[in-house]
Amino acid sequence: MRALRLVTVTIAVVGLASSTATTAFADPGGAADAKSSASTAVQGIDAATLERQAKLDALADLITGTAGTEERHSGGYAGVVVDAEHGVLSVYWKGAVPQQVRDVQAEAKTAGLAVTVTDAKYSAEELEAARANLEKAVEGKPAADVPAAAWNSIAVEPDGSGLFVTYNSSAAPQARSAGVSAAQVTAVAPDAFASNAQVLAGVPVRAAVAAEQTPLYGRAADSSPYYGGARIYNSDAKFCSTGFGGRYAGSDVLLGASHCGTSGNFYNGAYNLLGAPISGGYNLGYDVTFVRIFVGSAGANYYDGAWNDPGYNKRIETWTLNHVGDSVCTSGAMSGIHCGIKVKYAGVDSIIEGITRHNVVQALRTTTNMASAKGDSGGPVVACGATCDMMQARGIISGSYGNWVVCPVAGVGTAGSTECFEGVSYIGMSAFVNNLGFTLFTWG
Amino acid sequence: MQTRLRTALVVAAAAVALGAVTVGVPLALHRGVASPAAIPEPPELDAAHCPVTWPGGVGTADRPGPLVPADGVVSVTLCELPGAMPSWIEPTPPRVLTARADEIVAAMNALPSAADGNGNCTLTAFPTEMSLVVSYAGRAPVAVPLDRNCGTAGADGRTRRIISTDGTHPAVVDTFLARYREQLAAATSPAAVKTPACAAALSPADIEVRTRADEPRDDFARNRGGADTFAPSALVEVRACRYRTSPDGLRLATQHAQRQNLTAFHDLVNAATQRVTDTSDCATAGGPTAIDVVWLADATGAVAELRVPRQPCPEFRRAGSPGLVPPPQLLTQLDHWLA
Repeated sequence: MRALRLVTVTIAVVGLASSTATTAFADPGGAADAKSSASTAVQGIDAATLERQAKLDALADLITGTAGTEERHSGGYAGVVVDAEHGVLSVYWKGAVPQQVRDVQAEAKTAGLAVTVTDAKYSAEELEAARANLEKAVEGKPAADVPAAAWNSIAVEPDGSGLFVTYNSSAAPQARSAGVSAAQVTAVAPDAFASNAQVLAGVPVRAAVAAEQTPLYGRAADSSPYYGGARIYNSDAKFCSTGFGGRYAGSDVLLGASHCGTSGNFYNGAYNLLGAPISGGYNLGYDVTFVRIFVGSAGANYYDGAWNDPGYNKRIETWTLNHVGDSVCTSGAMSGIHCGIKVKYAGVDSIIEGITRHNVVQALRTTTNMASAKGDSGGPVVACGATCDMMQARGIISGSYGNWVVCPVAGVGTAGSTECFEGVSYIGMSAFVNNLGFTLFTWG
Repeated sequence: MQTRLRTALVVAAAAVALGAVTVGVPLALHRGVASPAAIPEPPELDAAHCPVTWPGGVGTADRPGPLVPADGVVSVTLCELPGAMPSWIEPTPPRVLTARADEIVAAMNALPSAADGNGNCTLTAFPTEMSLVVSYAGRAPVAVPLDRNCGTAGADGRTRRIISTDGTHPAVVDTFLARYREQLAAATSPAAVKTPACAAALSPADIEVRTRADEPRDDFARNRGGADTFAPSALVEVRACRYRTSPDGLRLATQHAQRQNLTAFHDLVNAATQRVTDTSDCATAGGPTAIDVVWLADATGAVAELRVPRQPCPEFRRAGSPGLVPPPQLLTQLDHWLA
């Protein structure tokens, strides 16, 4: 009973916090709609764990609030790690722990969950400032002179210990990067790279060689109300996926990836005219384009089944912040639904196509064969709420993360002859809602 | 609830099992990076000297020397094969450049080495895959696949970096297309270049854009590079057709064809088509009550169409773009021709 009360209270808090940023749909009389068909979704994770994740996320949001993003924080907060399998939320805090956190600890205990608090060396705010210092220090400099200039992703360690930086290395040809000039590649080893970056950032740096995340360009023929996860082509016939529906600048829009196009017409999978970006309605830093729908409206659902499932979809209840350890699902038009993808870092600065993307969330598969594929760009990333009938919008797919994996057979496991990855990089929803003025359509 | 969860878990288990089967077939391993010592087999070519299959990535291995032999060049051919997903863009038949082909070979041999990077692959599902094939007198042709995801061009163990001008066209292809348009223009008699005649009437279906196929005709696109203007070649003929509403639809009211002094109008068209974010946001309900249709024919013989709704909401439409705010000078010129 206590656990139930906690869920009710925390969801109410989240709902209140995001009410200014969502537009709720009226229920026409049931979860099924004209686009629905039998479920083929694979969540890849048990229901009890998902329930614990929802509770732990809500607790984490009580600590940080939901008005900000994953990339900006203040006070002594250093980070959190969700361990839904064991029902533990690890909170890292610098300095005196406020009563608010103690209250959350006490509330968790009554719900059979644990919130641990560990002293952190740095606050997230300090590390975010150090990241900015590092980026500024290497701007325009060749990696031959300043190895740290070869960075392609900078994450704040969730335990407040420092920064985690990945970089382009000429010594690792498998770490192939998109749009990287020779001036942004270094031959130095990770220890030497970390030493150089540490001097410039002023905080401890852990480094690793990694390919820069690369954009993913690529469900059949959607119609109004338009859902997330459907096929979309730009005017150059590049194949991508639609994100979530909502309002932006007074118009119904679908979120899309900016690298799939920032101007010109967009078409659905049957080449029917869908819309075009609102004038100036894109943000390269958050890799998003607001595609205004010409005729019809945006829905509050996303396609949740296999790439070739004609209509299975789910409702979006709300959006939430991403936390390290969260289990999420991707659902792009090229490869369909993949769940059991675990968040490794949130609020990351990461380079795609030579552009620094912000508020990036990096996640890796755990229970599925893959996480993303070429053609999934722009597609939705979601997580289960208190149940998996009403889903949380977590972000839109921006690029790959990690290594290539063997793709399923084209036309069976994916829509086309594509390339598949073990991880995914996506932009957290908070950037669109809290920073860019996007209002997400929800059923919440 | 429990039953639903059990069902979901059974479905999940089945799907995982299916996934295990499907992913057990390694059909789509990434093209990977060629070993420095391995020189990939050249692609098999057809009678037109074009690859019969897309050879895949060329890696980053490089060695000194020109990418392709520079002596005895007879022609350079731009070849296309279908991409990963079907779209309205079909592969263009082989384009064979014989005039100034040595310039393209020089441009190919000036490409920087790709060996100093990590391969630089993006993941666009392009509608077609491109190759340049150099043909020689007394020597077998050399095919150079252009991997636009990895930004590389490779042949005979050499891999060079290609830079895109718009995310779709490598700069070397822009150069090829510029020379190819010149070659087409030199072989095309201006007298033979004609715009289509103005239709006597337009139905709403003729001008309403619901699908990609409804958009204005744009044959210029086939040989337009990424950095090129909308109409990259000189205009030979412009035909403007003005339609006004009548009880039985939009009827041709006036028309004007011009073949001389088109430079200023050409500039206006190119300037107007660059204003990609200046959308008109006209309501589409009901359609226009007056519209100018402008046909352009260029020196290569290609034809493109512009639609300029005048009433009730002025717009400027080209293929692939939403309605734009029409430049006043363009409207003035059309009024001058069609008043």
